[in-house]
Amino acid sequence: MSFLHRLFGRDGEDGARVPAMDGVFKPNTALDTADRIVPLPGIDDLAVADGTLLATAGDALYRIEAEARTVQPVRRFEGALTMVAAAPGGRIAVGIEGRGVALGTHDGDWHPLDIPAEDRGAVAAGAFRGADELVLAIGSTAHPRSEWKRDLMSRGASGRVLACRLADGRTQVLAAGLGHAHGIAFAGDRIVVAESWRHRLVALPGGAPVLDDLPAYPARLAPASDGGFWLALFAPRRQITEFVLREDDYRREMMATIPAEAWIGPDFGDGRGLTEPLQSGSVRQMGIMKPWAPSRSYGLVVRLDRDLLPLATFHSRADGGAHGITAVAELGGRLFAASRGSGALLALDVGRPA
Amino acid sequence: MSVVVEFRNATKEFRGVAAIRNVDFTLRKGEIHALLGENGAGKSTLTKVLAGLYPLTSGEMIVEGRPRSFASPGEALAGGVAMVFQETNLVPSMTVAQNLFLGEERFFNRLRRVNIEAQQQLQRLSFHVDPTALVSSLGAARKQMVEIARAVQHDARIFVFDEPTATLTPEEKQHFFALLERLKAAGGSIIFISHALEEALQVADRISILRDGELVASDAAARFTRDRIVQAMVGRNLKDELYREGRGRTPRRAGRKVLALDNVSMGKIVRSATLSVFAGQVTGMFGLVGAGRTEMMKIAAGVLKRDFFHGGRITLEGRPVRFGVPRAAVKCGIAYVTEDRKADGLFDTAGIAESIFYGKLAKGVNPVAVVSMGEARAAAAGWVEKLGIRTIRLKAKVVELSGGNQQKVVIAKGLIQAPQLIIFDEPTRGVDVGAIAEIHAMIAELADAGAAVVVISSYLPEILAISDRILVARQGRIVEEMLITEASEEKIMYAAVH
Repeated sequence: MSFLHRLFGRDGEDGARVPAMDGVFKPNTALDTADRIVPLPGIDDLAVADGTLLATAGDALYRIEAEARTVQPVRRFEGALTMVAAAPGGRIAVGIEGRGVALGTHDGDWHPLDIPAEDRGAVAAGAFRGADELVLAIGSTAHPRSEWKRDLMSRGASGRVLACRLADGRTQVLAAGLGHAHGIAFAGDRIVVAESWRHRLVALPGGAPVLDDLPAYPARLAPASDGGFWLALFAPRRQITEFVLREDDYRREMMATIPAEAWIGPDFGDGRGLTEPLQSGSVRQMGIMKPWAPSRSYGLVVRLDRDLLPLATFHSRADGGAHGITAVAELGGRLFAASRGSGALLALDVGRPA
Repeated sequence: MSVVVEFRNATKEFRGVAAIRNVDFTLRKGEIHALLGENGAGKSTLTKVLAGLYPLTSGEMIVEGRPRSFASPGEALAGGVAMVFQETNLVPSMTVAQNLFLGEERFFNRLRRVNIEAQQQLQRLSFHVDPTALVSSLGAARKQMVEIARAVQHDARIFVFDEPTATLTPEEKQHFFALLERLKAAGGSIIFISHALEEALQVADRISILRDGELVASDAAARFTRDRIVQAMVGRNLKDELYREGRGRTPRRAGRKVLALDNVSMGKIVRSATLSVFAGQVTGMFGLVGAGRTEMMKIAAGVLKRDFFHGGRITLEGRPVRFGVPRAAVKCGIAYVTEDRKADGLFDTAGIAESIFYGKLAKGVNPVAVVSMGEARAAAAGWVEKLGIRTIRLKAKVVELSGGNQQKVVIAKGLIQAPQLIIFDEPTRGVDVGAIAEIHAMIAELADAGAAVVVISSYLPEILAISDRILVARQGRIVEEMLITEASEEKIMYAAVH
């Protein structure tokens, strides 16, 4: 039956379809017109520690003074940083690719947190629940963080959520089998997890979807000042990607013979190399613009209410310059967004908190 | 100008109830006379007397200087009076040409001659209708054109148009108004009934207003304003209630996604349509005739079927659905309130209570249960009260109600199903101004209560007055989406045309 549906293009889960960006998701250019605070190539995650904005890029943790538009390195680590989380009181956790998690403060004194070996490669997000517990989103136990494309193209579903008690070092697996856990937030007693490859947010315990069928791949979550949430989405879903994800033989050969940056699939930004697939290709024929190559990158941030329903969205469209939003953080009435695609930190005014 | 039609002290009673009472009305030669009034005010009764459908109970009708009482529409036509009815009276299984010459057939007919003459007639009126097409294949606007062409065909001198523009696009309306001017220039006299007050002000030489069967105002059109007409029609000023601009208000927040059409196609009418409808909002859909907006929603409601292959995907509350019949959609909580209540919305001869209760039966009942008419009447009575359906008794037949009250019955039939998604297709077509305000308020209440509401309308002020979000359809697709805060008549029309 499934074969017949595919053959005749009938509906069902086999359809290479992506949800429309309409309603709240109607595109705008809010991210393109946002204030570019500082350039920071490779910027990935953001956190707010006692009123200070922290960012990760490459193997370094940076402190950002938004008003002065300056970036100061806090510390370099032994590997690429994969996340940063901050607790009230100044405690900071960073994820280091291949090494797991390190705990510390602004002024030194860092030590590793003991987590299972298979979880050390791709710690994608973290959030402190109180001062004594760190909840971690593990993107994949099969591939390191830098090989996220391989995880997607392998249809990876090895993501996990861990709860680590800092006092005694005990670790508990809260959820497993996730399609790349990429963001964590707390909504009352529930833990909300962004599951990138399944384009949804799920709530733990239970794993029930709370926001489904997103038009882009969700990344980090951040609390909003009025009790809602911010969600960063790092790349768009495209029909061609959905199609490639159905074609197992094609994907296997692509992964075996072509460098990852040239794969057909989502990306943080415009390609730089000549061998990469062209984005946004189109031709004008008889006065009508006919697109033939979809963009593989996009910029999208979603404002969610307390019930995780979308309230508003901020976009950088296919022809925009603020793609690959991997993290967001609200501080002092401004929303900061890490644009991995353009290598810059952006800021939008979202109103002073009451 | 000489008087061609005069009613003196005209009264028409039905079972002792006066539909028109002591009406003095004159139509002059070569004028366009707009006849306005709420539904049930007596406009149709007055014109039907003229067209030979009813005799007067008392009073006099003088046509071209002679007291007349036409026994049938045929006799009226022979006397020079042609009426284009509100709901078309064409034979759907016959071609356009055959309908034009219906009743004038010779013993031997050459189809070619009939088609050629019909083509010439339609071209003279600038109506782009294929004379060989079956009437059943035409949309409402084209049926109206054929109806108008048939009246002109009979060389009538007095024309009565009952709501002729309700189904026409703006471009077609301009053609129609030009036609009226040509008829007038040729010495024709025209009675023009419309609920679109702007049209009456635009095209009429004189305006007469009926209220509760009595003529309350009759004057040159130049002496009327919209407010004065509305006041005369309803006895109160409804300006603030009706069609107030929505741009000033905050749109309702979108709730969960209830319905999503994803690249839905149906022949050449709906082509890769993609749209979403959210809970707690009124989603307005605008488009010119042929844009496919009604068809998109009919597909969602199971009235029409999308293409079997590559027909796209429809999800309701996140679940893919494909309805073979409307009943399946009704069971899933979709109510579709049709634009053509006469053909698709009601059984004319059924009672009000039965008609409303049919909606509940469609949702599904225990197959071995006996339906209690007492229960049906009790359920219907609640809706009759809630929607303000004006009737003397619940057993009254739907056909006896005015257009506005019939529409409320159709709406009640949908709402009794407690739907999560309600699609209103032209909810106020052929409905009087008083009922329009009530229907608008009811639509707003539904959205406030959390239902997903879709309103399809060709009347831009209506779309702007009640929608939170507006979708514009063109050539079988949704081409523009805007919040009410960013919408204007110009922007919507631009998207619908370009």
